[in-house]
Amino acid sequence: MDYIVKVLPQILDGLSITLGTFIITLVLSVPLGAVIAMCRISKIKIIRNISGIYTWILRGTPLLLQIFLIFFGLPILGIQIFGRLPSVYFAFVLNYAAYFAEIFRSGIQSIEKGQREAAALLGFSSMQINIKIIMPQVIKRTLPSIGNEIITLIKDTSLVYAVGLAEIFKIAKSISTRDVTIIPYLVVGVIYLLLTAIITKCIHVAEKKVYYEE
Amino acid sequence: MLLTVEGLYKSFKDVGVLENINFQVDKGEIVALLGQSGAGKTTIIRCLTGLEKADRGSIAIDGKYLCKEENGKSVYPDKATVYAIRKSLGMVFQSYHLFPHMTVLENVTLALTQVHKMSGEEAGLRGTAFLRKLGLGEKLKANPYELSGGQKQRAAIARSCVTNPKLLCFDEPTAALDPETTKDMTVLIRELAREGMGILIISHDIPFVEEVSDRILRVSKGTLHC
Repeated sequence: MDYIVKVLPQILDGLSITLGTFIITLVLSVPLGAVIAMCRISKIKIIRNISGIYTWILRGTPLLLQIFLIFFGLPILGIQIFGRLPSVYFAFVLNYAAYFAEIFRSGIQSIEKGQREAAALLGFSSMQINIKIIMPQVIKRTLPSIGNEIITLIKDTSLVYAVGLAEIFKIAKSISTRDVTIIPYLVVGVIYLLLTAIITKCIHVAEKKVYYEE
Repeated sequence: MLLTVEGLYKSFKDVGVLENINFQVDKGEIVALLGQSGAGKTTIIRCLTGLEKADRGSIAIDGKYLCKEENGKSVYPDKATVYAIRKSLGMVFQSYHLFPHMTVLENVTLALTQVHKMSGEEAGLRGTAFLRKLGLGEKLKANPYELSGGQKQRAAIARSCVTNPKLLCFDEPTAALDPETTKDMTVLIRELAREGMGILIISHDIPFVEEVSDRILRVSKGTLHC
């Protein structure tokens, strides 16, 4: 117990990077995913195709590879715009936006065409139809899948250790190597469990809030 | 004349669905398009409401052209004009298409507040009055899933009528109704027509259309027979 009390503050030092990556990815990738979803169902073929290729590549290759390509690959190509942390954020946002886009796309396409037509005949503009009629239904239908992605995201933040960032998993690894014990890993496991428990509870509350019988 | 359809043609992927459709509906008149499934009835109504674009022909609603034939093609005005013309139209779908995430009253008042820019209070009063008139006074705060088939249809009618359309279209209004509710529907449609609304019904229910309509037009293989 004393050992846990001793290492816990060191591990929690990495929480800011874990939570920072989580929050920035979530805040930016959800709206980007919504935009890509709209592109995926666009009437313009070229937009549909480009967004389709985007989601294929981003979902079809490992996130770790994308982090490496952005952090190590872009400088080789002469593009030096990213620091360590922004590179990670960039890779996470691009990757998760692709997953969210597919969730939103399937949600939008699951809404029966008649809902849109009924609203159009009541005089609603396309924007009003999307905001007032389609989105509330899409949110209700996709929230469980979005919740799954969010839980995966909090666990995926551990991948940032690969570019040398000291998030909770990397710190635990260093302590474990130094002290020759697996206890830091168990502590990190409990932290992840607590984080996912909080997220699960929030998603559950949100699901209850948007729920309606169909 | 409230609705004038002239020389309407429509095809899907080179398969002709409508061929030279001509008819009119006057104010307060109930006209039924009767025909078997696949005859083209729904396509006619979808063209009238602008949900499908006609290939050829003209459609005028209350004197304004939704589309006009020019050089052998139907030409449509800009979106704003189409939206304005649509405000004269109401449509009650076969599957009702009530918005499931809203109460019955919200379904009815949403267009009043969002499209017609009425205040929430005024829209609420108007929507409540309409729903009471249609016997749904006790279902104002119910969600669509709590309603029976007949109640859903009346809620859909209230939603379409509350904005005072000049022409109300019904797609197979009796398809999901029992005989008793069908009788109620007949009375209700007649009442709406008495108030001056033009009514266009598409149906394959012969006894119902014979009972309710002033005029029956038969649709067969995409053509119209009086």
